Amino acid sequence: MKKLLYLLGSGLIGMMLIISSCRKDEVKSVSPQLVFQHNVDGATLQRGVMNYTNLAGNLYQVDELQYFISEITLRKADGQLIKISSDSSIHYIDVDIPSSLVWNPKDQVPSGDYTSISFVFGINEAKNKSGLFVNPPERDMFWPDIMGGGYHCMKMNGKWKATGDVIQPFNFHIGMGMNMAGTEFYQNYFTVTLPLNIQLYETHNKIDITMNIEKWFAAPNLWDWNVIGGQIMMNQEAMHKACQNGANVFQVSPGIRTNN
Amino acid sequence: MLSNKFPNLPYRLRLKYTVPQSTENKKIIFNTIQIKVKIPGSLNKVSLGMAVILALVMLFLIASCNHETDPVHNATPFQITVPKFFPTRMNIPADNPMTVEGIELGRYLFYDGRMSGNTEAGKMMSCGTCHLQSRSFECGIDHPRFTGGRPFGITGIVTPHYMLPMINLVWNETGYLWSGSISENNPNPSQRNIEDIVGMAVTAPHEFAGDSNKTKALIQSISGYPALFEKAFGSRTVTMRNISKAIAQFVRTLISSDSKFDKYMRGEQQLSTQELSGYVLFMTENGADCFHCHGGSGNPLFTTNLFYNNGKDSVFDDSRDRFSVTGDPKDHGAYKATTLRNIELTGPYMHDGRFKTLAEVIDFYSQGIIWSPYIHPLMHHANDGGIQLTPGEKADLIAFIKTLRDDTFLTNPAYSAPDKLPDGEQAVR
Repeated sequence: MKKLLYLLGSGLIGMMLIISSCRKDEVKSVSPQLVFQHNVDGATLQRGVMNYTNLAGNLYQVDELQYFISEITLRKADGQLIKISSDSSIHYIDVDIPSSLVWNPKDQVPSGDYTSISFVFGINEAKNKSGLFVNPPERDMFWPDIMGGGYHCMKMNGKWKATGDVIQPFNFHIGMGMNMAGTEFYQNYFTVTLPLNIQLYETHNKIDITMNIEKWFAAPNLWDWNVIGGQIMMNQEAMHKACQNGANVFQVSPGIRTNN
Repeated sequence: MLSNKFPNLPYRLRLKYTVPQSTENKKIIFNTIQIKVKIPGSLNKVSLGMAVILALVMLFLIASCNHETDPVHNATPFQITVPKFFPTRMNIPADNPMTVEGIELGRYLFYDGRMSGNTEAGKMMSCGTCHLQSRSFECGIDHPRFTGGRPFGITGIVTPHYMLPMINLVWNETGYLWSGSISENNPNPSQRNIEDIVGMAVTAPHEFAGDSNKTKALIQSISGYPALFEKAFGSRTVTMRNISKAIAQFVRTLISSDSKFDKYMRGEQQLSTQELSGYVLFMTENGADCFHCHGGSGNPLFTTNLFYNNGKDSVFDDSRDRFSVTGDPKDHGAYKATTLRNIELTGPYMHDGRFKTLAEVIDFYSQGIIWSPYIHPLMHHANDGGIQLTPGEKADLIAFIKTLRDDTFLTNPAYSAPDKLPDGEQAVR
């Protein structure tokens, strides 16, 4: 009897092990890796060197670039939407901080075919509240409370050669807009949706998100610093135009993961 | 392998760990911990049990003898209370956790002139000689010894730069000193944090110009100190490293969070009309635009702790600017943005002390900016010479900046010189 029970028990455990290992055979989830790249019309961004010319003919250089991407959502081929929710769904990118250029969210997403990606440039209204970040570097993106509060969507600092060959600083900052009286506020975050045909699986999980900086200054609104001026934080009309242009600045593409 | 770490164990206890593996088409992860005990055949079950118990007891004894993993011994952990809106991440080295006893010792040492290794009047110097609480731990422009606020060491050699305030340094993650050279990124492991600055101060010609062995021996010989070192670090033997650790712990407690502006942010006090006007100037791009570098409502440290060329010069030949650390051309002439807390008390201003008063500083930002290719883009009025404030706006801005004065910090008895040093002597600065 004891032998019979022993055999039955052993058999049961063996079957459980087999079933368990069969489950592991099916890769059901993937850790996505998001890589942020920056170029000017295809050439990798070289900072601090005045060698770019925008469509309006302004010669310019970029010194600093900091921004938020949030609410990344992947659409599967079957229409299912998979949202990256770790880190409050918000990621900070700073070209001076190499580690910020690669985001390995804690989320696991189902493996399989995906057809598009969408994300918010900046932080949406529900989350973009003062006090969200108390630690640097995200903290230093704060937008003054008296101007609506929350955080910059982006800070791009640089210089352009203005009329008369005078080098002028620009601060291409986007955040909460307000009217001159300070009585009305406008959200300037925007959502980007791009096609992304990718089959995600364990060794093929990298998604490149590339910003073409020149596109900020191209269309639909031709950006001429000599007309608009270098500072736009308190110029809602200019920030709105920048956001319209911003719809065209990103490209996404699949990549092969090279590291963890 | 445990057997490598404890080769003298009577029975070999092997710990086998199989690292995660994956195959091309399958994702099968093994995390196996397997303990194999090699037993001589002559042992019976009772002997086996006893042997295992004996091995475990020996492991416990060996582990408990390893004091290196417990640097604070039985010292009382000290937890910094993070003020509202302040960062939650702090720069406290893992090998120097804050303790009540460490901070107490650090306070004594901070104010003990014998840290210079001397006991003769006129030859003693402590941190507190230059770092005055009433001047936000700078020496201040009215210091009786350091005329014009320019500190110098025991031998009369002046410091390379003017002083920076000692406020809220526990939240500085970008490096200490004007250039940020003392940071985790410094290739020299003895130049990475406040502890290292203490050690440097003892020997630097422009500070104590001393000998760390002499300092160490002198502190060891002073009654009361060995017992305090034992309480803080578990040993009566005074070491330079433990001296540095204790002072660094004390410095990390120097927290300013109770200025009039803090109270305004907490809803406890209103600002005056003039102060509010200054606040608007401070926080707006079309105003004075101070907040991008100096913080504000979203950054109560009132500094980003980052480095900027703010347009003071057109020629840059200081071998201790930010460029000297990074080698990045854009960092020529760049220095740390100082905190504006208590700034009204910390003149003279800038790394070279060129401005004596706050009014001079505001005049500079208003009309005195000098263009250079290295100027930071946030200095966006540079081609106009500055932000062009009217006299009324300047007064408003200064009125706001003065709301950052924190009298609670300036008079906090926990930060002041102790009435008596451990041996009963008066604190000599």
